[in-house]
Amino acid sequence: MNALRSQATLALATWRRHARHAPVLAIAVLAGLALVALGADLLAPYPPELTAMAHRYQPPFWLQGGSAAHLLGTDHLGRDVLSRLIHGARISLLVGVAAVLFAGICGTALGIAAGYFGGWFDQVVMRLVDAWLALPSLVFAIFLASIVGPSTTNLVIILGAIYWTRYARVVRSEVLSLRERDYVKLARIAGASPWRIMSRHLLPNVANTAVVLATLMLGSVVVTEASLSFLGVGVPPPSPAWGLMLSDGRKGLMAGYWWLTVFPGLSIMLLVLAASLIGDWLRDRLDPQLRPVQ
Amino acid sequence: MLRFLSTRIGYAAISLLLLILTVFVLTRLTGDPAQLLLEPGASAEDIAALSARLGLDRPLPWQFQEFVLQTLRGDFGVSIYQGTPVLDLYLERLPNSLLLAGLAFAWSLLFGLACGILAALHLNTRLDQALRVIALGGVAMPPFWLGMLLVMLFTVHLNWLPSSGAGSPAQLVMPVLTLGWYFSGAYMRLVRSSMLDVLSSDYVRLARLKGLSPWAVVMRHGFRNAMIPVMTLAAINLVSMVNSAVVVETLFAWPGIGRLLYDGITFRDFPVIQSTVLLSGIMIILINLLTDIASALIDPRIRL
Amino acid sequence: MSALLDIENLHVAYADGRVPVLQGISLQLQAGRTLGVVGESGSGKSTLAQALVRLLPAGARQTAGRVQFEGRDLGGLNERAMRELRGKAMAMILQDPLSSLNPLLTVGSQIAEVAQRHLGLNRAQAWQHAAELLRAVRLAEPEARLREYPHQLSGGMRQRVAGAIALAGHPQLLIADEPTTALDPTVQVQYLRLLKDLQERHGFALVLITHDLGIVARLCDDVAVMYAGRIVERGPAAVVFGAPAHPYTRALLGSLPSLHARAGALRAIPGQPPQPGRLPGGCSFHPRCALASAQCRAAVPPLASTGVAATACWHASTLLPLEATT
Repeated sequence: MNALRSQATLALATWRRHARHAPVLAIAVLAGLALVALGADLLAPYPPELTAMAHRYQPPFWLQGGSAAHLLGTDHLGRDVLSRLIHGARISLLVGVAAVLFAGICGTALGIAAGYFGGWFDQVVMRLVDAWLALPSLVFAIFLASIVGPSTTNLVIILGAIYWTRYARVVRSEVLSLRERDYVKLARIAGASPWRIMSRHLLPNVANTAVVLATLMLGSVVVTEASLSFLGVGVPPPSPAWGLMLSDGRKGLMAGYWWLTVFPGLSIMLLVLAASLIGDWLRDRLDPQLRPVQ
Repeated sequence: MLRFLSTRIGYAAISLLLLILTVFVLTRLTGDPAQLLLEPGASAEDIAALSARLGLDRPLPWQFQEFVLQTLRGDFGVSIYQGTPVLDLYLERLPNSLLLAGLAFAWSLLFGLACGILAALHLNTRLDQALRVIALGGVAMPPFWLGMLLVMLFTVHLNWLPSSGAGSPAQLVMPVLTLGWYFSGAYMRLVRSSMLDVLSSDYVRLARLKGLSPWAVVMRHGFRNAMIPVMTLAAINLVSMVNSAVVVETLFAWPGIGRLLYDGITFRDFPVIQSTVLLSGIMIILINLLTDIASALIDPRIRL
Repeated sequence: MSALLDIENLHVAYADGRVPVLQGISLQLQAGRTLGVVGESGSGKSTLAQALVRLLPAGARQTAGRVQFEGRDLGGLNERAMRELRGKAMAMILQDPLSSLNPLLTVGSQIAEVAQRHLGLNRAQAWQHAAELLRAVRLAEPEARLREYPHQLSGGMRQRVAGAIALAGHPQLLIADEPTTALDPTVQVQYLRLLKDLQERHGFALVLITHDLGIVARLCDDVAVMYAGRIVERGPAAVVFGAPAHPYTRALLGSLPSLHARAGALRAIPGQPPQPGRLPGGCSFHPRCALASAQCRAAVPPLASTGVAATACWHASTLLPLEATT
């Protein structure tokens, strides 16, 4: 036990050293997924919606019954799994990034305003954030989806409407401390307008935090979107969203058609892992004060 | 302490009010809540009758007040599909969800604690690395995917466990495992880093300098202090657990609140959806309040 | 009379023995006496304290030498035996009173646990003992303090609590590692006076580690000046401060602002102390020393006796007395 504390200090030092090293693999994976998403039309061997009832439930090519024509097999409608995965990447990344951007812009703006102006505006925004954070993201999303109807655009708006609260809270607390810095006080004395102060002095400094938060949240957003699609209130079929593929895969679960479940899930996991690792690394480099965000 | 309590309860009340307001406003977002509350394809007369009964032609503040009163009275409307009051349905399913969530919460916390402490004490050994990889994997896996993988393994392949229904303990195993798995990874990582921080602190150093036994140093001085951030995470995770419960219950056909919500989606039963959302929110606000109070009990710096 | 603490040629290195941090430390301390250990940051003085109680940080270990306490060789004791000594015969006060007290436990319980552990007292007796200790460190309303938490006390009060913790096991040796550095200047004086009074009352030997020469001059019987992991000068405080023999000690004393001297440029010592593991060859001080010669660059000067004191400098015998500054 004597060595414990000593071990701990040495380990912390080592870990901090390693934290400087970029998670190259994670970045490569994310970049790869982005490229796949962009070039989906070129890369996918088949259109994702092409059905071929004669070839339903074909296993991946290395198993008996599989063929090189469908490398990862086909689903219950004979659609090529690989092509659907590739197009699914586009959907997941599109929705994910769009939602994170939307949430980020609104959340950061409101967070800066609330932190800077304070007073009743701040109280109102913060109580609203608390109330909205009390609602589980998935449940809230289902609620909203049942009101406005499921479509991809609506989905982005819904996800943005849910996740802005996380931004607002973190950005606001950072602005609260930034507000007391000398250069901000000087700007106020010099008579700069609130808008100018917020955009020129506060915004650049919370940008770090916002970026870290964005990467950390991408994983959560993707999982929420997949869950929504799985439940049937996310991206509407017949889109090849990974969540939808999992929902379809459920049909073949008991029959042992494992490739319909494993590959889409693996893709989601890959994306989430990459985003989380990059987010962790960014946080360690840019802003060690950030707590883990759900 | 009293001041602390009253402020916290006050905040909770405000959050509650804002929650009800949010639901109220959002329901009226697309214009006609009566249409949502009736089954699709309802006749114009039915819609008009409901509108009149709900007082949709009355001023909004009045409607809101009515809504709040209804909520406080426990009147959450009637399920379109089942015909029974939603509150009854909710209360009927609640014990099932509580059982599932309770077990999952317990196992994820205990498992995460054990692994985290082990990893911290055997820092940088193979055991530590292995535990960290498992934790990382657990956190990245969408819960419903894990559930499906478990079903493939234990039901289809090994035929050990049933994949749906409730009633026998065997049917509990996979849902509980699935629901808790994600969180155990998060706990493990936090416990590990929290323990490491605490174990390298000055007060632990002083505890060693006092010649206390290793057990006393780690448990009395290290453990309680390391638990503080874990409690915060536990509160956050409770919210996430409700999310995961929806998909897990759907996947395993577990008759809980999550499944109720899913049925609501499938049958376009808006009263069920709206009320489940409201009730979940209320429950969570209450739980957050309790957690705040518990934190204050543990950490004297908060309450004094 | 044999010394209470006898350190002989102690070598400690970090990074599993590769980076030397302490080299050739030899010191003796008699019971009831006060030794001041002076040096800049990085001189190894805190490492020395950790080495004495055998709680070195990760990767650091003793590579040579012997530490004897009350006649016993500490190197021969296992961890369990060391735990018997720590907190009882050997006690320590750390620098930062806020971080060295557990924020979740009451002041009383943190003192009482020492008594319960080492004196075999039950809970009630231990708390009683704790109250008496708080009275001894001159804390007002000791009984009330027992139930309070560290964050409710001021810095000076917390450091007194640290003193009470150190006293709880009736120590023979008290090591205070920069005990006043984190306190306000006015509180510093009071605290040091308290330490001295406690020493007179209880008779323990005191090792005072500090970078503040004024404290050492006022309170310590003997002083050891450390530089880059070695002792460069050692002896009775009056001798070392009255007639410093080592250029480093001289430079330290010369760089002290004096109220009496004519206003002039503050003479800081040019250069920086070396990092452990990057020591210059020969005498570690030679890059900053005005007297450096070829011999200084070539070989490490041994700590040679100059009567009642000892200095590690090739030029020790040729140095003239310091100019009077009055």
